[in-house]
Amino acid sequence: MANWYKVSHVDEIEEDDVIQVDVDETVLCVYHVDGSFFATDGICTHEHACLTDGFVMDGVIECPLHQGRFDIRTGKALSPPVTVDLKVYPVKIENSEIWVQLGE
Amino acid sequence: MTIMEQAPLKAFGQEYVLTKKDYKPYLKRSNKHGLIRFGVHMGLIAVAAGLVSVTLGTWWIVPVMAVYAILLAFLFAPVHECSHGTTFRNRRLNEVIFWIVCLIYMVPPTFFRYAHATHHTYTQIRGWDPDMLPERMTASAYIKFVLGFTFWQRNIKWFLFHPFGKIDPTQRYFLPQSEIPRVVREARIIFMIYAGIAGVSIVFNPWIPLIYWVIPRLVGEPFMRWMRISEHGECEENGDLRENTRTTYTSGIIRYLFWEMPYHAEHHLCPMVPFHALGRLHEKFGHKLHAVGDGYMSINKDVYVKAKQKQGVTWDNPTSSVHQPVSQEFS
Repeated sequence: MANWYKVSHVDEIEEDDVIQVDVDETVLCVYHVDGSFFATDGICTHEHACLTDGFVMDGVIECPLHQGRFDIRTGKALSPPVTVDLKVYPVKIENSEIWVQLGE
Repeated sequence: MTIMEQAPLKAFGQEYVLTKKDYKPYLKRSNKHGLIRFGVHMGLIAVAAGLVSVTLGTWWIVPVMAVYAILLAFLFAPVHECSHGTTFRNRRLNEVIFWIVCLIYMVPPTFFRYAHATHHTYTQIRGWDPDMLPERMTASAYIKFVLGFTFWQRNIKWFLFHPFGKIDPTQRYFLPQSEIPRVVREARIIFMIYAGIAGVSIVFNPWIPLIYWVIPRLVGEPFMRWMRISEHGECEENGDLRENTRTTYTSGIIRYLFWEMPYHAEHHLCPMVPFHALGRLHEKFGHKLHAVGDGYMSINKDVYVKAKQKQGVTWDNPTSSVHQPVSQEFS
């Protein structure tokens, strides 16, 4: 069952930046790109690296460990060494609060 | 149980030196820096190649060829930087230059990228780091390494076997199953390019690729091996990035030609930082790094003496490990 979780406030994430949010046992990354907010899994699909330590540029998150790149909007793996896409989650903004939907 | 069957320890230590807030200002990518450095490097190579052509048949060819060969050997630097994707802001440009320098330097791009990524994950962890020096390095092993025998032996195997889908079983662990077709395809393209160059040169002038490419690559590689031994040679085998990688103090000219790679410990601490920002990162955080070498000569002397006496400080200490690789599709 899908549930919405309040994960942050729009003022807490700088433009072109990412924060990590743990919801139960799910590690999420929440991004601020071009005035919009997005959420993906927080761990790189290549090796165990926290993407929140990575680099956000042009709508792409770059893994801090091996510079594998994912499209923040779609989770698509863009370049080696990453080959498996990131899971993305629906995001909504209500009263300047960021909500992420988890679950089926 | 062999070391490969044990769970590996991953390289760690960044968190003791700097936070994301600390390194964020150094991450900015730039086409300008990459284009200037690449342009200067290739310009110097072109000038040196011109000098090779005018000094052929004279004794001047000896020093001129040495300089030319060293400049070609320094192309390892853009190979390495492009493998991280940090040379240019434009990723497509990064990949085009990556292919060009890999072809000249004679390494397969994607395979190198995976091997190098694994070197970063398991830096100085015996059995997992593909770039580690031999466990029982003797004086003769040191000389063999520096002369480039191990480098060419490995690379020639890559170029001859990968086109036929034969990947060394001891190296498969760092290549995801889904990437094997890409590696094989690349190896076939490279094989055809090299075969094409060989064929054309045999018909028209076999000396040109030999004089301007093959011979200088063979002559220059020992210099690169000799320099690169400083990066991890005789550093701790404990996974701690503050101790297992060395920054080497050297001249500004060498730093420029080596694309700031002498700041190697800083690079391992934060591989996202592009080459042109490593010097600034060193100024701010270099004092927190334990292994800093005072010149390539003294480091190589130290490594050679210890190799000769088999006094490697940690060579008897295969690492015990705590984490499993967690890639979702490693074979």
